[in-house]
Amino acid sequence: MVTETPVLELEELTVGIRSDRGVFSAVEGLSLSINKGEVLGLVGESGCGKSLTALAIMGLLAAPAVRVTGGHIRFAGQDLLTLSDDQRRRLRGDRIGMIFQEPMTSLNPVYTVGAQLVEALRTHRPVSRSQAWREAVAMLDKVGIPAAASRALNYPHELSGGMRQRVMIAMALMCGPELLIADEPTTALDVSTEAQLLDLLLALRRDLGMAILMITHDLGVVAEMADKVAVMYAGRLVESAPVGELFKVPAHPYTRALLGSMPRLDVETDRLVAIEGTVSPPHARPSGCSFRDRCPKAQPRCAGHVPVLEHLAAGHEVRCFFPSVEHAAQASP
Amino acid sequence: MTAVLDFLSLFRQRWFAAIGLVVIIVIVIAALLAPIIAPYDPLEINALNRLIPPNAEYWFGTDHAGRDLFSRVIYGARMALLTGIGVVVIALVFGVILGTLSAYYPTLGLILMRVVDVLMGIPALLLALAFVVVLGKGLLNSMIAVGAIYVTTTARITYGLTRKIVAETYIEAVTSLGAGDLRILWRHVLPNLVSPLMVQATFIFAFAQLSTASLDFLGLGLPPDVPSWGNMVAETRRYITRAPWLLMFPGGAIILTVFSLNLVGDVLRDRLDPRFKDDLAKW
Repeated sequence: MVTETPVLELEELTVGIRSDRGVFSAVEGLSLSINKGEVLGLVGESGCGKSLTALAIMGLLAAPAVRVTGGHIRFAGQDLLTLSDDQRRRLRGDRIGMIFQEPMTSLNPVYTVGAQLVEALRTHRPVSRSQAWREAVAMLDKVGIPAAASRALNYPHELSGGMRQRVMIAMALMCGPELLIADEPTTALDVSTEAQLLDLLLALRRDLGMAILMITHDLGVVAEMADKVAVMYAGRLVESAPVGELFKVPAHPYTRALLGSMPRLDVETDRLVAIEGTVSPPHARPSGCSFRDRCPKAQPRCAGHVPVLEHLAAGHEVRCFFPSVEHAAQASP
Repeated sequence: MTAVLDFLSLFRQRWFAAIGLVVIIVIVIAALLAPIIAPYDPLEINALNRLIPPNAEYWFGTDHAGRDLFSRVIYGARMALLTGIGVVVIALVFGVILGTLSAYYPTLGLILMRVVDVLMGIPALLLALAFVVVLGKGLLNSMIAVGAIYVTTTARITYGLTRKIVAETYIEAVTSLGAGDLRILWRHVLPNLVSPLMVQATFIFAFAQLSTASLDFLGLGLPPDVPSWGNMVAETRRYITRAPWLLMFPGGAIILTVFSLNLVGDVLRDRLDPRFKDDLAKW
């Protein structure tokens, strides 16, 4: 299933924010790659730069205050940062699709969902309105909306949150993208709807062979969906590994802490372990390793300079001077 | 049809506003059917019939040139509606263009909105006068002059509304689908502006009556031979003590029209502006 042609490759991507406190990097030297048909889970707390990464790939950063200040974004081998605005616009929704966190507000209230799907297709493809409508209904059917033909005539407010998110997925898939960016697509939904939608995304991935960049703060979602996981902290990649490896041998203290703060069914615990403190804002990050002010293992050395990504095992990299090597179950973060 | 019924149901339990709606409908009918309704030619001068008080033959009396005032007031409704529509169209078209572009392109908006600020600092009538001085008198020019006043307020309102709409996730979503700027503004922003601007349009229509009447009164609006309510009021100045009906009827028509439009505008706002949804005025 997984072949070795990267659909998306980020190389040392840096996103700068200009504010009245000066210029700082919200994403710093981020390198990732996603192969065809692969699901990459990008995990991190709020404000770690994961959504900015998604917007940078889409070319939707709020310029001029927020922009890519360094690195490369390669999509199917082509550096997106060298393309014109119009060329990037033509990629959006056609070869790269995106779904958002809020299904309740992501659809225009004044059009039927069918009309919005038709528009998504006709933005990029010279098809007739009636042909587009047929494809829209077929796509609604594919994303599991019952009675798709009549549902297409509904306005967004007539649909539930889960239904709307299905419509959003259908909209993003109208042109058959090679890459789908899902920015916390299930955060606003209840648990059973979430499970259905994740199943749907996996099924669509199988059928359409597209790659998915799954942005989430929920390791449960990652465990269910992803082939590979990249953990971000304060704008930097701190650990990346195949999903099984990451859950078995989490090497970075932050990853271990994230796993420790997650409820588990197989281990009896009275309470979950919270990570002390909060993510420092981009303009006030500690020197050296940005996690050191919250890290139980921090040493004077951590303040000196930023650790580089160390290669631990096949596909497993970690940005820490003192990576753990023992299994998660025995470790107490 | 359901839309009409839906609209009419708004006036249930609001008899005051319902009366306003009826008055407006009557005025529109009067304007459309003026040649049928008016008993006399509104322009026909008859020196023998000067300044006759209202009676069975001349319902509203006659003016200083012996013209039937009732017929003139009926024809005046045509001018009132025509200028009202003209002003609303001018104000909305230019106001919406300025407002949406300013909101969508922040740098452009910074400049345009400061220009709007300056224009709003000029007293409304003075601004209209300046336009008339430059453009000259006439129907179209008075529409433009009065329209210019409301372009600024419309641009302001549209700017605020568009800023809010552009920040919505569905705009981000259509951007992520590869929609271009024009498509977003035309297909996604504009339809969401329609309801709030409809409310604005009723109020502009109402206030345009006052502004155009003021221009006419000052002799800078429509040519004096055109039977507009403002012109009629202006002509009565010299006869006001001898023939008060000359002021009463056209002046009353202006007041009635503006008042009714405001009442209907209030109902529309209650219906269309979510901020007022909870405290619907019911009187």
